[in-house]
Amino acid sequence: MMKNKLTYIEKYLPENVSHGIEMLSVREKDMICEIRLRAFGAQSLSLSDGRVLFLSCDGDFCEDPMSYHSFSVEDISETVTCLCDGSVYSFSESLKKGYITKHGMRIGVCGRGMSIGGIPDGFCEYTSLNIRIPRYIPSCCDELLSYIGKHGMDYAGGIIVISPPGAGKTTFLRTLGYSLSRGISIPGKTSSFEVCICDEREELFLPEVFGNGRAEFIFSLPKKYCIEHFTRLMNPDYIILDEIGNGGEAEEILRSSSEGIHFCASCHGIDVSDVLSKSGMRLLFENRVFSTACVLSIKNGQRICIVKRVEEYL
Amino acid sequence: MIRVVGVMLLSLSVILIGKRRAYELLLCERFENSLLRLMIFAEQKIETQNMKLCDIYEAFSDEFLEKSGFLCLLRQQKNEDALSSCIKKFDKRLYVGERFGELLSEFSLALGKCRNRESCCELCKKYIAYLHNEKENEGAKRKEQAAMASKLSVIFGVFVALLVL
Repeated sequence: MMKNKLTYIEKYLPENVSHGIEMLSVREKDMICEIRLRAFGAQSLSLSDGRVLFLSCDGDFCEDPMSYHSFSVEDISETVTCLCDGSVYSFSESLKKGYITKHGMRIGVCGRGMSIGGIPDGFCEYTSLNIRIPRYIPSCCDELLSYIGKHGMDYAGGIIVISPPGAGKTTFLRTLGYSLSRGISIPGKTSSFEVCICDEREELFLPEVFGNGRAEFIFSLPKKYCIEHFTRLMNPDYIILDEIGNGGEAEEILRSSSEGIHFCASCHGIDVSDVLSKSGMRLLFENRVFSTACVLSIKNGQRICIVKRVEEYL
Repeated sequence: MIRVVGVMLLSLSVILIGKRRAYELLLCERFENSLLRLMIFAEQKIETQNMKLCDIYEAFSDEFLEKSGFLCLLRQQKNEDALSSCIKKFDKRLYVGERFGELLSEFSLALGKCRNRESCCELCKKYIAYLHNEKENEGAKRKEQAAMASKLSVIFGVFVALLVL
């Protein structure tokens, strides 16, 4: 059983937020997807059923409080320092990109930015935080696994996971990576694969999940480097990448794909046709790097996964 | 007989007070040396490994700070300004010069909040230089004071004995 990640993060939160969370029911606590802290704004919790709870001045989280509790810039900055274990400098590289990773949780930060010669150089003042609580939902890629079981791995080929932000791409990839490395049932046999995972933002790896798995990880390095490294040295069956399409990694993926390596990757979008409008992604689709698309969405608090063939859109 | 024993006890306590003061002054020297060593160690670890402060405190070893319990307390601090709260908690058991203590607290409060490795190393270097100067200036005075306290206590002890007897 995976320990709720809230237990790790609570000690870093301002006292009234952690106290407010403490007062929630166990069910509500389990449903927390995001914790948002804002200077001069409302502090909120997003639940997996679509509800948003706000911190009231009375110290509890409710849907429509009479008055909202607000924080100062100093409170948010202090929380950032706390989240960095009192060593902000050691997180400077990730803070430049706008996030901190803590116990596999990605914490997005906003505030007064700075730039040197037009290049962003982190923040001098923090005004908002978004703490995303990672999950491991063993059943979230059942549709895909049964599709693979029915048609076989070769037919499924490379897999692209498409969804708008917050619909569970990372959770899906995490579960898929674990399932592939542990072994999945294909008619007549159980096959496990050598899975290499590029965890650029250190949010795919959860020790509770991969502690007894067989996957290989590279943390905090650019995808382009990871793909080259895995291809050259690790002999993978699958390489898993989160959020491709922005880093110019298409050529590297294409090169490795021609060497017989399958890719499982995620991409922001609403549907396959939406993703096809990105030139780098079109290149990958046209070269059959991805044959199967999993389109994720959330309706009425329910996660929906639709498995599609990419060739139908070309 | 009782009077002689009383006088001896009195002069002994006067001597001991002086010796204690001399010992405290020498302790200052050792504390300041060890704390400076900690800062130099931190600066190196941050520069070469971008190490977090909590890991630096774990990795650092110093017999004197270990024995005094300062390092143990420092490692237990889980808040963002561990060094400064440790200094506060250690309070009178931390024998450092007043100015040295102020500079150290100032430094420890700013250290964790540095935005990047470069500014952190710069801050370390700056404060190491300040504290080193402070230690050098105070060190010579302190040695003299320790010797003086030691000598004076003996003289006073003997004087008290002679006076009462």
